Amino acid sequence: MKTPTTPPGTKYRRKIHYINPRFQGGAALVISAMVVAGSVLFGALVYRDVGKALWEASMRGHFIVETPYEIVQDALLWHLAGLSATVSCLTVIVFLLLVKAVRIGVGHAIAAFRASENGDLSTPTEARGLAEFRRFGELVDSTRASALTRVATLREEAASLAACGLPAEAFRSRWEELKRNLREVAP
Amino acid sequence: MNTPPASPPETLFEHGYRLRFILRLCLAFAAGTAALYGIYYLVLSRPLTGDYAGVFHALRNLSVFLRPVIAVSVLVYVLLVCGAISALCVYGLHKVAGPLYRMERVMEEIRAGTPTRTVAFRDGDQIEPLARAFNGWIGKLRQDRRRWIAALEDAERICLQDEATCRGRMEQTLREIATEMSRYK
Repeated sequence: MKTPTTPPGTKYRRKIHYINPRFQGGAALVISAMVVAGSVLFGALVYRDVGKALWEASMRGHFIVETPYEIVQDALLWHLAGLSATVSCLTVIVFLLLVKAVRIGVGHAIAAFRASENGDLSTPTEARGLAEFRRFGELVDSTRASALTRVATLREEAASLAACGLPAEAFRSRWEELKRNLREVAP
Repeated sequence: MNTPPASPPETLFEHGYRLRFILRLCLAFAAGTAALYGIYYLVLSRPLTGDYAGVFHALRNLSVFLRPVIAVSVLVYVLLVCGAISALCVYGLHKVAGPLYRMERVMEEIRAGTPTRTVAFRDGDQIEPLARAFNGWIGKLRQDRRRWIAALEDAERICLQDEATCRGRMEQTLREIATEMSRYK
């Protein structure tokens, strides 16, 4: 038997699936809650209607069916179709709302990065929507604030060095230090 | 301070990605419904045999035992569909969760001052404009940093001349850099 060979240059790469309990877990929980609610409602309706149909059939006195399934078929199929349609529609709506919430949250983060590109590092991101994106927005703000602090410190250092009138040796030492610190901006 | 204006609409999600996710959800529900139907069909399709009393009692017993049958079938449906949905959320939404995780890592590195690369997404990852906006900002910051360092090095080259000219040029460069840096606020 021939063993399958890997073509040269093809390297097996494990696919990484990131799991974010707040984001993926939250979405799964919301959809599952709807499924549970729909199923409980379905169970109650089937119990009422199918039970009633069987009971009435037994009371009728003569039987023209071969299986109980023929008695309850219509009610059962209607309820199954109702369950499937309701849960599917609600889930699609929840998914589209989730997409919208992601779009709102990510849209604010994008706007914040674009503002940062133009020098605005202090206006808060104010990412709305899901809690996960509010947290992400805070992280974006914290990163921008950190960059702003670094630049502000360097600006003060440059301005003070330009105005200090230090002796040549001390001036050169601070100049070199400023250059070193500048290299740490967005390394 | 004003809130940054919301960005113009960009394609955060591929059209196919949403459609695929919805289709998979519907498939999961269809499979669950099929399982539910199968259980009821198995329970209810036993032939009614015997005389009138036998059929009467069979139907009465069936209506009495309907509650546990429904409870078990609904439980099977819930477990099946919720399991499929959980798997779908993990394997489908990781195309959004992954990019967020990568960006968080890069932002942590930037805050810590460690050398970072631009954010690169995997094939099929969504919310790509976020990475582009982030890379644009970091790219601009790096460009400014390179220009500031180049200005300092230019001023150093003048030092081949006399000390006073050199110092004057250095101080002027520092003032220019401080002015440029004041763009960041």
